[in-house]
Amino acid sequence: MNSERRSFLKLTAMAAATAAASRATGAPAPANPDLRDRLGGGVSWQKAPCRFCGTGCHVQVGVEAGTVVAIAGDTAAEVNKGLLCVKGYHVGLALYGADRLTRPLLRVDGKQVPISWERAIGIITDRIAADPKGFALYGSGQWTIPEGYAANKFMKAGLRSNQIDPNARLCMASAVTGFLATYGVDEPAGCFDDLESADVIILWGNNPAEMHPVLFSRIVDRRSRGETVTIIDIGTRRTRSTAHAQHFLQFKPQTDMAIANGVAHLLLNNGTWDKDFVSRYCAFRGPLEGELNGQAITFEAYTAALAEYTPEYVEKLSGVPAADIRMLAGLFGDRKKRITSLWCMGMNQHTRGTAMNTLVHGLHLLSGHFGRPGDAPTSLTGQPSACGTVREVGTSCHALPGGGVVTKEKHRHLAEKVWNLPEGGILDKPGYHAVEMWKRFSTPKAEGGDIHTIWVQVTNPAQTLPNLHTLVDPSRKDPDKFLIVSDVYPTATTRIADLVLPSAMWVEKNGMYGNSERRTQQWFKQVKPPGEARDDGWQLIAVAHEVYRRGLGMKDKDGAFLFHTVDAKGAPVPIWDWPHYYDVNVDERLFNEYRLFSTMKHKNLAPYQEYVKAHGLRWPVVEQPDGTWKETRWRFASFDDSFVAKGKEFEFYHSTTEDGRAQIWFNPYTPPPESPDGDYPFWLCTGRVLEHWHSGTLTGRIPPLREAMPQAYVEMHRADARNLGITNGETVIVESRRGNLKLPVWIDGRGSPPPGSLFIPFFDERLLVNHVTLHDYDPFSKQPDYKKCAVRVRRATA
Amino acid sequence: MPVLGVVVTLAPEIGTCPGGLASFTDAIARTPGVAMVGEPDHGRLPLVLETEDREGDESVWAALVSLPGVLAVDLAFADFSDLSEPPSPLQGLSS
Repeated sequence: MNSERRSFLKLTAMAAATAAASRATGAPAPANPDLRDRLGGGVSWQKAPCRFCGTGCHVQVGVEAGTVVAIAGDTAAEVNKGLLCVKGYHVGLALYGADRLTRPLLRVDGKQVPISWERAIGIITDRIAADPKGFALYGSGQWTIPEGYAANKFMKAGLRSNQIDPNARLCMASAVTGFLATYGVDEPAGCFDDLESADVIILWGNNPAEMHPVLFSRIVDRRSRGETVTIIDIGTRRTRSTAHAQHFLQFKPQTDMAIANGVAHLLLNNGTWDKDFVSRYCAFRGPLEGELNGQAITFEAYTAALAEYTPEYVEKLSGVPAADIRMLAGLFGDRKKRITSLWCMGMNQHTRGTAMNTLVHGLHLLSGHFGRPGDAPTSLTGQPSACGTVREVGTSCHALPGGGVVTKEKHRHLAEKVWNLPEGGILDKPGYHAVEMWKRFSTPKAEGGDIHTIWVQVTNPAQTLPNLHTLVDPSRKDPDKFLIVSDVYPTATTRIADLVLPSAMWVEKNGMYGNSERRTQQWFKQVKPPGEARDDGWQLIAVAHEVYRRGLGMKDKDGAFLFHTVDAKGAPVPIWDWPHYYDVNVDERLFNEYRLFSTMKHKNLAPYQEYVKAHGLRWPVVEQPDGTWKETRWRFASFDDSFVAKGKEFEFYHSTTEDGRAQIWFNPYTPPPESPDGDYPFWLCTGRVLEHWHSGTLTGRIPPLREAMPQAYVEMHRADARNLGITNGETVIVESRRGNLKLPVWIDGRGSPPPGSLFIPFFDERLLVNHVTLHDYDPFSKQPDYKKCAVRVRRATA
Repeated sequence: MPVLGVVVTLAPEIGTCPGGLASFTDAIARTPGVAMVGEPDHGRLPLVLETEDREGDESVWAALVSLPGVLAVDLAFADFSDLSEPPSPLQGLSS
């Protein structure tokens, strides 16, 4: 690199850092530094949301000669204010791993050999033709919104099948059912702005210092300005977030439910619950087997149910001192304080995940800590578009776009209208949720395994599904089963696939994501994908057209192709033919069709072009009399939400009781399905680390990240290691009733589990911890519990 | 040869403790590959990191994070225009 160019780069780095520092301190937003001038004329810059987590940071992508050469935090973006985490800074490198998949590959005689796209599309269509009902699509919260919408339409309208489910079933399904059971509609009422107003941040089994670092920086930054922000970490092991917390409440796995009930008990006993808010805006609910909405209960019944959850009883169950339960109740009982609760996998990957979610919502409602900036129960998501593509587009087996469900006639009729299908064109029975789908794929047809083919896009289930020996491995020995995988790199799943399709990723294609705070974001294609890699959306439409051409489906009630597309002059565009896919903006057409669904549940979206101009907009986005579009930061609160009826301060306008009220739930603590015993004496928790994103497919190709965290390990308490004669770094075997794993021990490592507990990250595909986990799941969300199972440990050399 | 623009968040006591800031900036000045490019603004200090390779980038980063008084280090800019293709982390496992 010549010295002049390096000087340019240093100046650019300086300008970006200075701008980000001033922005982060609350100063008025400066324009993005003039990167174009500083880097010279050869580099062009465009916005894009980061490819990784659900925070939705915006980056400026620098492209030179068709290659991404630089990444800068976008100072104009409200989410990250110019900052990025270590993964975000490296996001451009994720495109350039040496082993990108560049050609379709078909398994022939045990080896994957290159084939043409035409042949690949023909093979997929053959599988559909043989038995459309046994063909399933397994997608992702990394699908872009238009891709997920196309996938949903492909299955539910094109094949008249609901056998589609996403990997988000594994990460946030319990948050969805928690919101539905409480408010009658999904997704947080608050937003990230709450982090600037809250006096108290409660982390419920959550580690944002590693999983959502930029959000955590927003909290820590307030402290650097001298503000007082109390962080309370309620967890089963110490993490990097704990280091910043004033209080760490260490609980025994599963007993978070008892803690929440204990706080509610004290609010009632102390008379510090918000009687006015509750009497005007809330009702009470208790469990009823098999019913997500449970049953109405009286205030007296609610009080009686909580009576046993005294601080002392909760201490006995959870191990959290009674004084700390009283401390929490004291905070919730103080209306002058603003309290934001944050959670992610800890509460969601839980066999009582739905119940636990409702209990945290219930604490905020009961105490009135709701609907003011800083007062919010807010779930976080791990994928960039788990909200946008899964929860809003409805790519689950029971869902329809815009918050609809296949079991409701009104919702099916809307889908039939938008997609121009005959009445009855949408099936009213949900398909199989993720665990059931894979279980049936791994079960012989003669034994009820009625899923013969799964097409996986943008995810890596052979690493991330639980209990892999049961859900995945058997299918690979059954010649009737066929696995198709679209991905960008070789993964644990492509390696066992029958057909592999090379995909374009991130800024190699147009896209839209929806982050954790209801923010819909848009970007344009900026570089070409390598080799023959192509958009996942194109792959779906190309197969759809082949199905249509053969007369097997994919047509509306007038016989037209479901993805029929015309240009600005009304001339048809063959978007299934790759050279023509970008003749029009397919994303714009799909999104503007999808937004027709968004008004049904007041998740209103603006037209596509509004997102081109913005760094994301938070729905509902409502058109104003002057033609501008207003986003909503706080739902259900009259000061910000246009849909709250005039004269009301709050209104839960999708209330399950249809009276504008949210539900305060009682759900009892119940023990987990598996606990340590004499044979398997340790708890095992699995999770993520700062450097790697989920299964490591992308971050494993980025040398600094890989070198910083090269392989998985098992965290163990020093006392346990001493008792077992294990030294730091020694290889051990961790074994459950389902499988085992050999890996090194890290004593007093980054995280610190208490005695009797272990932690293993799941990013390393060479060390698959999901051979050990169990696949029990929440009865409503169907989300598996990756956070607790029973294992034993022994020295590998013993 | 990465060039990074970063923002360091300082603990409040760095600014209020007598000599705290001077001591901190001395420590920054002694960290190879790091250049101060501005004054702390409400506890946020912009820096430029310039290293010879990605390993250097990682070690400088680790050194910054470990400095007493550093609450967080965030990225604002990164260049990797001299990108050479990294090896696959999973060589030998691919079909």
